[in-house]
Amino acid sequence: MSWNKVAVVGAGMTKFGELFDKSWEHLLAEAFLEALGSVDKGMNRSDINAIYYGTTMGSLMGMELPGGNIVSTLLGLTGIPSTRIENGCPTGSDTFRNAVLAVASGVYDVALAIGAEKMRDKSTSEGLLSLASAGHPILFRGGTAPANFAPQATRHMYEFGTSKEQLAMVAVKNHHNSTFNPKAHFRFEVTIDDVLNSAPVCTPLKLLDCCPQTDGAAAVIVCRADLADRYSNKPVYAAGFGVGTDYSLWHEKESFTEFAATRKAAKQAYAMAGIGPREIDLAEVHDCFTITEILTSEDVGFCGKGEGGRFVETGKSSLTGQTPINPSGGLLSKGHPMGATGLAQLSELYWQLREEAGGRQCAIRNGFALQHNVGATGIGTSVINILTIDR
Amino acid sequence: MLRTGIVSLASYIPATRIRAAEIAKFWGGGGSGEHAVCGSDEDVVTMAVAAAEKLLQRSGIAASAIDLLCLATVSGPYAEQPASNVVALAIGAREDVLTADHGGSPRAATTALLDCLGAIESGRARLGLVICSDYRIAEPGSELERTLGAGAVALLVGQEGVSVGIEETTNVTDLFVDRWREDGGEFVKEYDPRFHRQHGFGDLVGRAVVGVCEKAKLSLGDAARVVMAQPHRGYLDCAKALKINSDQLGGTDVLKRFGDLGTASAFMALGQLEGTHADDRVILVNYGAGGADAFVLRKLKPGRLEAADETAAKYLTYDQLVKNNQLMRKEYVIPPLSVPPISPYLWRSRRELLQLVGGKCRACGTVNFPQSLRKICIKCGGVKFTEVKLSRTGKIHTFCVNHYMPDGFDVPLPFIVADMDDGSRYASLGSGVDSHAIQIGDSVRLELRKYSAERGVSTYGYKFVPDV
Repeated sequence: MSWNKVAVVGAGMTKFGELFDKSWEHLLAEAFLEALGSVDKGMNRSDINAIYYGTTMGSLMGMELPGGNIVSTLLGLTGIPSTRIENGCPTGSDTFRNAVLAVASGVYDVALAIGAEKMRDKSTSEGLLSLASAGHPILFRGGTAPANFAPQATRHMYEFGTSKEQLAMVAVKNHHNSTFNPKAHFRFEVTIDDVLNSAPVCTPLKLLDCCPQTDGAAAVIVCRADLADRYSNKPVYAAGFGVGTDYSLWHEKESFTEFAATRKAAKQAYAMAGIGPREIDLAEVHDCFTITEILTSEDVGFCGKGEGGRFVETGKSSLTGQTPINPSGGLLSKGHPMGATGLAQLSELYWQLREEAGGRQCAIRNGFALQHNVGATGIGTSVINILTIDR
Repeated sequence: MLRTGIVSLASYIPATRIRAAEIAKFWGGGGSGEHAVCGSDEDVVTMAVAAAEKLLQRSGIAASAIDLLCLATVSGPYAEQPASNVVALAIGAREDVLTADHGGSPRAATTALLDCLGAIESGRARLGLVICSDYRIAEPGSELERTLGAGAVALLVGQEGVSVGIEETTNVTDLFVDRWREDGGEFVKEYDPRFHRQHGFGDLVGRAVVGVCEKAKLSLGDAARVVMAQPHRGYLDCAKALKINSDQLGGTDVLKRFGDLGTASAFMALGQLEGTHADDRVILVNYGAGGADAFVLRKLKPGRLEAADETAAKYLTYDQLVKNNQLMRKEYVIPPLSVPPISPYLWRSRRELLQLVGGKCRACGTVNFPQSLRKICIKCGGVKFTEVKLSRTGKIHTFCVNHYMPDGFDVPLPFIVADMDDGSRYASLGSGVDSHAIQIGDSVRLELRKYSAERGVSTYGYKFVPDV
């Protein structure tokens, strides 16, 4: 395949947390202004040719049929092309991918990829548990978010001996990482015992095995690679991406010890970037629950099948490890405002590749970083973006 | 003897029980014995389907052979809307089956039997299915609360393979109010048990027994057994007054073990009858609120009609019963189904969800389910399918147990993915599964349960129950 290179020249995100005093619109504006302001050599708002925005909860939070103009208006960019992207939990990643495709096509020079979510305009139980009555009225009844990942944990523990302690280690690592991230929802350390003693949510997952409900927004600005020098001193580039899809009903799934969608997305992304897992310096992956990071480390090839527990246990995914995973604190500790998550992960990779990540900076050896989300109905959609910087 | 008789019988009693002594711990007073209770996702319909499926499986008769389906109940989900139609669809009866909802009192069990007799004797039908199913609720703290129980019995009625012949029948009807529940009322009520046991049940059952013996020219002492409906211990006094001795009175465990099963009581006792021989005469008498139907039956085969039920009982405490039966209500909103219960979505899915049928791709053999969502094979893209029944039994492949759910869901709530016996997989909520002991590899079975009751309409679907 051949495609026009696309550069990432700006990134920004709001603080993630329970932001009761900030509206969805306010969060989007804040993220946009930070991203715009982050461009090294400056950028005029009028340089933006198209907006892609991601938000998933729209109609669960009183925003029915959200159209593109809602966001162009609130960003002061009324008139330009604006499109809502939605693809489950990978919404933010796919928003970015669509912006990249738009610029790679040659139709637009500069595009904005932005996402936001208000998860906390409803009580925790009402918001979190509203999923229990979504989907097929019988086949998905009672299917809360943790119930979509816990069966994989049970089976992985059964087949490979992955322990609840190893699951807890993911939470310990990511909470530690977020103490270096002023934007994170949570910024406190936890111990393995803290995790194991926390309230059971959906066996084998306990409260601290689960990400919180978070409000937040993030934005990334992309442009044609041949225009990057106009804006950036150290442009980052989109190296490749992939979208994997797996069967959408639980009884159709072939394996409960991996996410087939992630494996497919990874294959596509690596092929497009012309690299393999060993070239990845660090990754931001979808740790909505501790088990998800463990499975993902196997699914994207950082370790072998069944080895995910040992991978985190032996420190390979720590900030100083072989392949740091979730230096930002991950969804577990940084938070998971669904439409923003992928874009916040991409912002983290942008800062990491440019070596601007402060106390959580990871070693950049090859100049490649991977961003991953998995989710949607039946946890059957995964989007992976690989970013790179010239070394 | 009529040509038409009872071909076979099967019952379903929920595993959940409560002892009268447990209720007395809370409310004071006394009470002996115990009774069965519907699980929180069971009801008259799910019990009826369970009994009917057991019966069809044991007797090797297909649901498509049934011409008349009578559901007898006084505690069904609707005042207007036939519960019999849900049962008919779930078991796979033909579209041209005649369904009838018999009610009014526990006497409905035998009026349903007589309905089948009439239809078959007259040649209008060849095979009838009678299902008696009840779980009545009494006011918390009342004496009735200690005895009303849950259960269902299904009978096949026909002229081929008859195992219990019908020689004579008689009916007695009088106006008598002993137990009642007004339209829209939640609780069954009774007034003055000492009075109604004697002059309601006692008198009318007595007259029916005497009457049927006269008609059959049978002396009561020559009947090998007498089987009575058991709404209360008054049936023992009635038997005594009729000089029926204790070896003659049969199936007497029903009230003690399962409670007053309403319409299901008399046939449950008949099914439990021990020690009969071929050609033994059995007098069966059913009763409900001023009406009694008596039969002289002849056992054509020796032994019990149904093997004893071996299901391990699960005993509730009273507070568990309160929660199970929603006797105390919080101000909460049970999350509605994702589509309204009367949505065309559920109507489109009625067969696939109630019968568990899928489409086997003719090109690659993959079973696609549900077919209303799968018009193109998920594996090969094929568009031609053959209808197949999904397997109902399997072993747990993986699971999780939810401890944090919205109100209205039973916590802890297991969600199970099972490897089914036909090589496919199925995923569903669990019901009556021990959430603390559940393991990969456990045997499970899909059974019909009530998923929701909103806007007064009940929605049914399958859940995994332990397969012992």
